[in-house]
Amino acid sequence: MVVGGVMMPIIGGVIGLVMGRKIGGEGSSKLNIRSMRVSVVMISMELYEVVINGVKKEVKIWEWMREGVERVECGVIEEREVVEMMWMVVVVGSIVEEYSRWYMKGEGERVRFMSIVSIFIGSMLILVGSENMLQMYIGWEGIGICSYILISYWSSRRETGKAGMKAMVINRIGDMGIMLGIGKGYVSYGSVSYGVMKSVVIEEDRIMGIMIIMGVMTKSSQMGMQTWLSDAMEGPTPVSALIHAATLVTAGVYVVVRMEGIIGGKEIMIGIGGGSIVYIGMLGVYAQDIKKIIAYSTGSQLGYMVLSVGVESSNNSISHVVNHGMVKGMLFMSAGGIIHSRKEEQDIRKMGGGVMSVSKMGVIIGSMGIMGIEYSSVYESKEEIIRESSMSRYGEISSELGVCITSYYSIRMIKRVVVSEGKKRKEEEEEEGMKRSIMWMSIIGVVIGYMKREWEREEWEEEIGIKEKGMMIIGIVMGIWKEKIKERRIGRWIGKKWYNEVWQNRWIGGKVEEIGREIVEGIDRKILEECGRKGSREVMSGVERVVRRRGNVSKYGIGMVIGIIMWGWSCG
Amino acid sequence: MGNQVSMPAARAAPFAPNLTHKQRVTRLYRHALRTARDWEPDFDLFVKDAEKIQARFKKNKHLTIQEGQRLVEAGLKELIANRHPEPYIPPFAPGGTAYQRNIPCPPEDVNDLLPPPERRIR
Repeated sequence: MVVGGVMMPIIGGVIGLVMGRKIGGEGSSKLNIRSMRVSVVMISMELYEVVINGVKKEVKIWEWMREGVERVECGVIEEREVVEMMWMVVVVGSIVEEYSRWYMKGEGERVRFMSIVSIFIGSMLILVGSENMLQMYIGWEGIGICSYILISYWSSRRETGKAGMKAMVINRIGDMGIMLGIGKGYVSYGSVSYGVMKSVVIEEDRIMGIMIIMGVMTKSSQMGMQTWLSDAMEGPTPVSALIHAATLVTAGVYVVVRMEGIIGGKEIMIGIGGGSIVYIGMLGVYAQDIKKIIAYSTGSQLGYMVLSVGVESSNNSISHVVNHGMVKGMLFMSAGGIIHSRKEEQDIRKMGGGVMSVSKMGVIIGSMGIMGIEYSSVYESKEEIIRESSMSRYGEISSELGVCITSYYSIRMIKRVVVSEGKKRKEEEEEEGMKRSIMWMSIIGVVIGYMKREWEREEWEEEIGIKEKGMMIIGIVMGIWKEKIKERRIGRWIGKKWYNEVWQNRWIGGKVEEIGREIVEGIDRKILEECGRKGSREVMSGVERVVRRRGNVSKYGIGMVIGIIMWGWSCG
Repeated sequence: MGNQVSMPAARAAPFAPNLTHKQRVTRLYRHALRTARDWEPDFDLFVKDAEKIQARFKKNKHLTIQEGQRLVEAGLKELIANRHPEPYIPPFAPGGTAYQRNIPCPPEDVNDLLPPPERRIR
């Protein structure tokens, strides 16, 4: 059943691509939506089996390769975290596909869009369900390439091409880290299977940890590597809702959770996670583009997840991934509804006014959820993380500060989008399908949060909760009272995105380009060309000159025959 | 990304060479208003800022050309220092978020001009 759930999106996507000309954009949309629904049903049944009945099993499909006693088998592992994550991916994916059907109406190349979205979801499921690192890497690369195609969907626009390429290049760095990590794992433990590695591990491998953290930093857009995520907002909004909220960016966190107990470097994770909460969250304070604000918020929340893994509380991390994915997907879809109704306007300075719509309600519910207001779905998991991170002073300070910053930009966004008068412009009503998707997502998000809620708490937990609420209130008050930070120095730093791209281009991009140029000039043009094309041409023309001067056809014939005999003899 | 790489040409206009003094003053005034609008999304509050800017320009309208040129230079420096990191750009203008998204196909007349083997079949 679970294998069918994993394969259905891919099958739907491939059929959609192959039959695209025949069935058209609308037909492809319907096909992909139905395949996703089948997948949701299948994985929901597995969720019931695993979570309610407590079944734990592993489905093996085929033996991929064998090296001595080590076997690499393709299949799906069924554990609580894995199936929960898979369920979140298919549910968000299914709702986003339904939403895309209406959102992308009137755009070209819908066949490609819908099919690639389905293949993306399939790749993500392969990554999530894998029991070994090699299968995980196939899914990892699959989501990478699909994300590139989807970000640069509007290929006639220069910025989208650049954004897609940027996402690809930055993620390559992390991919290399993951590849090295797989190699290191195989060398150290003699296996690529999570289970085998966990059973033979004596001491956590710090070097392997650093390699895997490289992958997490890029894929989950952590501090310093977040530049691709904000640029990836060039893609259509459904792509942002699916990829840059619920699935792709959480892949890094998920992998590191799966490898808990195998890899070391927890203090690095605390450093990166805690730093990202504040560093990326502050960027959201200045951003004016509604999608970029939500993207920075995603980066900040991913910081909470990485921090949570660092303080050895992986369950909370996965819980936050699931809750956050639902709410953030809904927030993106609501933002898309507003953008659609205001004729592609994304700047929050030009929003506001008009009547209350489903999208605006979605922005309010989603923002309150991200802020961590009580009874919202994110509240529980976020508070758990803050509670656990209080073990480390740095983690506690950064997570508390993060609450304040999140409240600030969320309230600012609500104020601009919903409350303020704004420019009087006629807003179009959203399509019925879009409204339905937003409502479904908000209902699921809230219900899950309510189901997961713990009603009884200890005294020390209450204390931390009060501190968190205090920080939230400070953020809310600042968001209402002082919305515009115009102070020169801090404003310039944050407004220029901490000069992150400047130093990256100057110190990394520039140096790499310089090295590349030297390689081209020194090795390609000089050594390879002298020894290769140019050199062989000169040698051959020299031989030709000698032969032509002596000129004897019969000798060439004998030489040719001897050559053929020798070649035949050597072939054996 | 769009905001950083392709600032609309109009934004750089005050710094263009070969402008008369009058042109420089009027462009500086327009860009000062735009910058104020970037910082202040509420129209009511923006009007107050705009009145202040207008008063500053009106106060100096009787100065000589030399003094005026010096003030324009100072004004340009102030404008650059106070420029918004993400200035507002309309979505379909160059540098906007929806610019060049779906470039329309060439007009059908061009298709008709092509010789029959290369002509698009409709």
